[in-house]
Amino acid sequence: MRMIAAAMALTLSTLPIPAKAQERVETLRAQVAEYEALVARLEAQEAVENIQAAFGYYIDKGLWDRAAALFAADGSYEYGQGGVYIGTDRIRQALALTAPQGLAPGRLNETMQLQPYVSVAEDGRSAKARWRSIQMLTTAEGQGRWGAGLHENEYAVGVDGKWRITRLHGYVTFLSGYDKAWTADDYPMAGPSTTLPPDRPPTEVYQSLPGNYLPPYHYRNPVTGRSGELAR
Amino acid sequence: MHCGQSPRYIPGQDVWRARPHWGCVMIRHLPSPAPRSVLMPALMLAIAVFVPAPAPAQPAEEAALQARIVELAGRAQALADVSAIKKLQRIYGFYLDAGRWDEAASLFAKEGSLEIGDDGVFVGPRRIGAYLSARRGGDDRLVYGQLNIHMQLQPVIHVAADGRTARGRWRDFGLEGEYRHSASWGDGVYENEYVKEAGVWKIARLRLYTNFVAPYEGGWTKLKPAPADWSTPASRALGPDRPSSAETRPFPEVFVPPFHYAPGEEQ
Repeated sequence: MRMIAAAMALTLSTLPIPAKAQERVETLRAQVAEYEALVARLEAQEAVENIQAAFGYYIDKGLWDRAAALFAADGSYEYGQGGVYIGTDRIRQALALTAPQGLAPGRLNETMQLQPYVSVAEDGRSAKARWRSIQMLTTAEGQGRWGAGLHENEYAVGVDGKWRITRLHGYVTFLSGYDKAWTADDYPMAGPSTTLPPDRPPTEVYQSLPGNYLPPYHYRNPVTGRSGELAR
Repeated sequence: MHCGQSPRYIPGQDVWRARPHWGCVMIRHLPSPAPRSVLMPALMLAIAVFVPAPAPAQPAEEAALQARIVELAGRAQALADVSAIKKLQRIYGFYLDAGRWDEAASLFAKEGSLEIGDDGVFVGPRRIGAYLSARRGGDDRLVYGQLNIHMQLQPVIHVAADGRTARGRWRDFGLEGEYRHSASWGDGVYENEYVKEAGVWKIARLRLYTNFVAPYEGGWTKLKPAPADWSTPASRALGPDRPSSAETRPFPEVFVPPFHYAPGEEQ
């Protein structure tokens, strides 16, 4: 009895302290992991916004090589009704269909990257983003154009820690002449190129203004949880 | 005082954070001299309170966790810096909207500089304010009939590893006008530098590469190549403190404003 009592006393006097410390360390470990994941997702959002904005600045000046280098090796690019190009080399060639590398005097290709909604995956390794684009353009024939569109893009971080575009899909809302309003002077989207046929046909067939097609939202309504497909 | 699962933050007052096993702990949020992100300071304070007293039972693991917390606090600070710099550049644009040249100029460091188009470099807040005012007629505010919208868009921000300086590329999309007299579109790219002084981010160097200022009638396709000297009357009247840092050419010529980041370093 005395030995048991002594053992119990020993247990009571010693065990609770390491148990408490252990519990505290476990709580701390869980909290640190939680904040590491939160910070990593915020960093991912910044990285995605930077590379998409940088993509826009390269497109502005016809720097197709640098724009294509922002894609993952097996990334895909699709714009309007031009079909899908896969891989950085094909993407560079597809971008160059519109104007020569570095543009040419008198060509304007300002393509703003605006209003990002970035959704980083729970594990922080991939992301999706919706963007708006407003364009100020001058065609090869010297005609002014206003353009408006949307992007629904996907991104992933590589083993080297760098974020890249894995899927870029640009949707045309309208393309109009400069001198008349966008509801008065619309230009339909071009179909797939015959000189550089795409690797896959367009994933969605639609018409720019007067059509009013909008791509599905990649995100759920954050308040109601309604899916982006249904909310369209 | 309610302790929820999420940090609650009231600017300029106290931050309360729930600690599930230990109840609520109140942390004093010191008044900040600069506009700050709401999320990041709350997050950093939350991280800071998790540094516990050393526990003899788990010294190695606790030390490792503390090292992770220090590293995490640095990364959270960098995110807060990016947020502060974006807000700084955006309010520069909001002050231009109103013709508050004095407020816009006050955002610059003491030796900060501003250079627009071919107009040369203006140094220090006083000269910067005078030059910005002269560009729109010399008044200390926007006057009746003037429009001066300069949207600050599409940021690419990189903070230096030491957290003291940063660089940012931005787009300036402008709508300018004088009522019943003129209206124009503006297009340009900034490559700016920022410096953090006593905890406050300021503009160290603002460089706007003007691409065009095009009349609404006819638009940018009507622009002719600019003369060799395409400085504005405001620059010629005041005289810049330093000549243009490098030759740039506006549309319809194609000029690529230099990038502060190398290919592959965009993120």
